Amino acid sequence: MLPRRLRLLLPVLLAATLLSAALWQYHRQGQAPGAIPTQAGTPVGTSDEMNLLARLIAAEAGDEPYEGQVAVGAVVLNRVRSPLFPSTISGVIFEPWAFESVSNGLIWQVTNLASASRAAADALNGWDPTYGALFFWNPAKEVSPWIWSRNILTQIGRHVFAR
Amino acid sequence: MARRLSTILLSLALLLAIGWGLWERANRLTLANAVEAGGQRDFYNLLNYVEQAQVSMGKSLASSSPRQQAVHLTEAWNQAAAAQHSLSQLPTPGFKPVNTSKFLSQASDYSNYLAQKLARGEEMTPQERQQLASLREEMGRLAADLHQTEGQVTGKSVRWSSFYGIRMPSLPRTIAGRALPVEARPGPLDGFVNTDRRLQTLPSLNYDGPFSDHLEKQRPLGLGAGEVTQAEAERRALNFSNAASNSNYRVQATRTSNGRIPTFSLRLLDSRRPNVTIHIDVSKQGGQIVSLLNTRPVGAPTLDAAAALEKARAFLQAQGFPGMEPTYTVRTDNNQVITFAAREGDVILYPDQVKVKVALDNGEITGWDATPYYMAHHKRELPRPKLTPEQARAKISPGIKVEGVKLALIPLPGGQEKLTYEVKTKMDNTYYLTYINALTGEEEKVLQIIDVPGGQLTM
Repeated sequence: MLPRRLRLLLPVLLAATLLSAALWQYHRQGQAPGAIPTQAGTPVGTSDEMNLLARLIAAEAGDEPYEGQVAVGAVVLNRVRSPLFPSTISGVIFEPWAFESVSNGLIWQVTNLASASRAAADALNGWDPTYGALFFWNPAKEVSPWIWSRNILTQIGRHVFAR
Repeated sequence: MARRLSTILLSLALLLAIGWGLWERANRLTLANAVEAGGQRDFYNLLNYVEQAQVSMGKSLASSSPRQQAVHLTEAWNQAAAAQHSLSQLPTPGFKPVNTSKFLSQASDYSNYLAQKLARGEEMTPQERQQLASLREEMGRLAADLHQTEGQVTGKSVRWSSFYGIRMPSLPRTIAGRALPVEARPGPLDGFVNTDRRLQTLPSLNYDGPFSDHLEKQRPLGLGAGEVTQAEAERRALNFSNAASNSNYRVQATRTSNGRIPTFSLRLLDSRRPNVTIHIDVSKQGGQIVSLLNTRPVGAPTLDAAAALEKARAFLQAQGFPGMEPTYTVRTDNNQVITFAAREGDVILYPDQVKVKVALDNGEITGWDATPYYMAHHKRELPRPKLTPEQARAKISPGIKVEGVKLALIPLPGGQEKLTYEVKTKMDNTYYLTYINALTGEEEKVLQIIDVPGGQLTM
């Protein structure tokens, strides 16, 4: 038999865990998507789409080289122009499972949009370092095997770009 | 006493845990129902729009009045586009129905192409009728396939919300796999996979629209002859970048890229300024500088748009692009991006475009994009206009103020080029560009000029 004090330890620990879990849940609900940080001080042209694109670039390629960020923006815009994908920027970005950062919510958590905004502007102005890519992925991560059947164009930073 | 206390505490904790679990489950079910509703909505929208598009295509074939045909084709255009949109938002894990999507886009685009043709007063050729009939037939087959899936959906063997979930960690997954070996049974989305496979085998569709298959194979026309070596590409990239920044660069890394224009892509480092890098693409064929991006952030502006334009013009001149005409300009961040078009005599060649980006803090050239130029530029035999500028001006509706007329070669969807008069008009404080075919007098296209901070865009 355990000493009395130790026997109390288990239920108390359990109760504490439950309480903290409930509190955490409550805290999380408190900061629902209402608190999306917006970019400060960056004047943008067509701001609505640019903001969305910058957010995606920051979430998908925030630590990639600059041309890799422009390339991710260009992939979105190439998809908008492609018959295989929806014809709007928001349609492309929010397609189910199209982008990992949309599935896991990272797109709503990014805060540093400085470089991503410049990359989004360059992509919207026509720069495309991939010359027509429709797909990109990180070969170090697990991806759908289907994706490897696409025609690979180049690799920029950690991302492979394909058509 | 203490034993009793611990029993009470333990059962209380258990009740709490069960209560919490049930609450979480209720929450999850609410979300799952919302997701299920979204999936069902997209699926039934898809099914309905596919059926409607098939009917509209049939009506346009049955109708003998070109006007009615155009009306039904316009309906088919919208319905097929809506079907494609619904399909793209449907959760289909593990595979993308790209061929179904392409088929719907093309059916929509082709209907639009025919509707526009009829609106111009032309008629469908027998081949086009045949093409439309076979697209309609294929649309019917797609509707039948979707009906089969609908049977599964109502029988609840397809639940859209069930496709969302976190994958089991690998250890329990292998244990579960050993304990309950999965039988090979048809997956819920097999119908979609089979349909998509069949649509992949459709013959290619060539017409004058943006989704025509012949555009997939478009090759650059303006690169010139001969392949360059990597060393030569690096030499050209350095010369160009040194001129753009008035600085001294060295090569950090070179990779190759195999896109629409195959290139050597270089990363250059500035020898004088730390942390300034350039990304530059040199085409393998012809060794042309296709694109340049200087990645440095630009500080507070000291130049205005006019001074930036002069810098860009001088740079173009020095790089062997004389006589380019600035067409429109936009300011993003502290950069001015100016689009230039080539000129032949008094005709502006809009397909042959070069974009130059100028940093407004010191006038450095921080961007260059000649992709459209090298894709389109070739020696052209421009026709002689049959209309005079006055005749083109007379085509504009009375009551709309004409601000100017000039000759322009414009690209049209489908890769064609047309010689037109560009008529700049003003209506309710908004400027428009109307393009009147210089040979036939047909109106080919209208663009609206949109004022954005620091520049203008056309749409």
